[in-house]
Amino acid sequence: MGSGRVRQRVFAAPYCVLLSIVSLSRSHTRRSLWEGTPQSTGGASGNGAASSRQTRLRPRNPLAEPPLCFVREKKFRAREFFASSLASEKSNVAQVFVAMAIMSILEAKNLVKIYDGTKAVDGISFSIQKNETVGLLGPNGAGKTTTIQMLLGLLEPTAGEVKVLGKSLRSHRHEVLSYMNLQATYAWLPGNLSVRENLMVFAMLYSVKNASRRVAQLLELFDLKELANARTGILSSGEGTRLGLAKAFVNKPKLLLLDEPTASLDPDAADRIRTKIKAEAHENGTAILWTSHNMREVETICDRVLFLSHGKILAEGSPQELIARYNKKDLEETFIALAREPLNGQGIRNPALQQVQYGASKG
Amino acid sequence: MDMARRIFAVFLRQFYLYRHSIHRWLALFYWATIEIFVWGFLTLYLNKIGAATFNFVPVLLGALIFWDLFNRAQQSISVSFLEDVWSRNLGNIFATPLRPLELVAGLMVVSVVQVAGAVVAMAGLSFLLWKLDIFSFGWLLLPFFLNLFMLGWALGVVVMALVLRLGPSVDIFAWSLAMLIQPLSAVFYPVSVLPAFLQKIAFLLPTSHVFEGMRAVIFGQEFLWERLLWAFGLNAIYFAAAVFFFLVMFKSVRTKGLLQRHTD
Repeated sequence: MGSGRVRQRVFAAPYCVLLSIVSLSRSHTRRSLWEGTPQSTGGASGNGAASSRQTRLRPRNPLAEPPLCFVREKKFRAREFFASSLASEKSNVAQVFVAMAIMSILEAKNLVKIYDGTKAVDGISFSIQKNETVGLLGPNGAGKTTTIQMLLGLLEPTAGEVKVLGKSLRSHRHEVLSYMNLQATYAWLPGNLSVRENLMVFAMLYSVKNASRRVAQLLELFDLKELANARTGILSSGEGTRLGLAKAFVNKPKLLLLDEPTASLDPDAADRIRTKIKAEAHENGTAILWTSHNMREVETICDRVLFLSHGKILAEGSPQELIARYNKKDLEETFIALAREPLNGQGIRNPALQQVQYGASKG
Repeated sequence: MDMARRIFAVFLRQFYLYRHSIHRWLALFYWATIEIFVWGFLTLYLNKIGAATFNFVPVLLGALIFWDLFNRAQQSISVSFLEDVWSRNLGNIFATPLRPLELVAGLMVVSVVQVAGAVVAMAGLSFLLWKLDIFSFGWLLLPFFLNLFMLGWALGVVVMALVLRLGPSVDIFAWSLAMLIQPLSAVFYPVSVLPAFLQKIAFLLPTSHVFEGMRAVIFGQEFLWERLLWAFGLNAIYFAAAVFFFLVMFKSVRTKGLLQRHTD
């Protein structure tokens, strides 16, 4: 690993399933998940009367040993997640299973999109975890926007399935869409409405409680307060992007799809926008799928990258992993190598690409 | 509750749009005012040459107002939908939890408000200029009003479906579809003046039953329940068919990726 950072690619869910099965096999009661005996806390640390009756149980802490899966160091603290879950007296095995389901915010399985016999997306599968930022990279026409549109339900996949928080987009479309949001330069907001009005309309569409307060928060957060009554159509690129992002966060989404959010912004504005996105996403525990042609940006912001070409995932890993794997100086060089290699018809030299079997599907 | 919020959001979007736009307000009342003047003078002339044997004012001006109600109900839905197509906002709209039927419901609310404004203005002007009080006919006309709304909504939803499937280039239907059925709707003349074969087609249109029934009310004749029931029955079928058509087109554009045309 070039960066020295421990990166994780295996999801926590299989480990947690194993954990639950092991726990259940040890005991038929929920008490088996705990060590020690119930004690009165005496209310010293208390939350009033409720805490005085609270029993302090220490979880058996089955996560004390290194997990079977690799858990991301900063973003995805499975251990803390489950420890806190188990620390509640109300926790039970069912809740653990619910929590497991929640951890994978997005699951895309074997997504295929065929237009008139041409495969725009060719059986891609990936998932995104809570708080994770995943870059979706690829040359023009690779299938990025098609993928995003399928994830948003704007486009019906020819095959495959999208699940958000464990719920299928196909069967729970409207519920699933309430967990998501989008910001893309091509998804314009009505230019004849003011900034505040646009945010109000989308707050209502997402059934946001206290919509006016949420809109005021977003105006403040994205430095739009001065522009609140300005027509959206007269905003500059940077201001328009900020409004698009404010709209994207209006429902505090669990999954945010950003299609080139900093395109057309100057470096300073782009940096400010990235900082705001990360801060807001961190606060809400939002998972992000981020497309960009700015490789420096991707290196900075993405925990993991999916490289798409001709509708297939050619490579996957952290930016540092990919740079090291392909022995390149930076992600931009890696991008160029990945984008060109399968297209030059010279055969696939890189072992990592051999499994792609590009030629077999595209000819 | 969430559904009500989303429906309200559709209305709110149009409300904001009109709040800023004087030319949209003018468009709402301009043609109505012009028509009241032109048809008012025409009825005066017809009354004059008709030697007072027949009062044309309630028949022609009344019919004009009711036809305008129907026409506006259709246009209101279609044009409100087109506003989001023109502003390339459909991608954002359909990426929200808003259901297609909630969108239709929201646009129906928009149309009721817009039509109510326009009809009240026309009726007021008719009263002031030509002493025609359409409200003097009382509640008897309300079921016919409702029927005109229903067919207007149905045609509006058909236009939405066509725009969704074929793109904004077919927006001409938003202004012309209602006019297509005017010759057979017996707006200004009874169905009996039509050739026999056209009469059969005319009675497949709810509007012909509505205008026949309304004429009877205006002339103080008996209330034509049969016409009303026919109108309701046909409207129920047409409205359900229009909504079904819209849902099929919505699914079709999602499958074919045509929604991208409105977002790219």
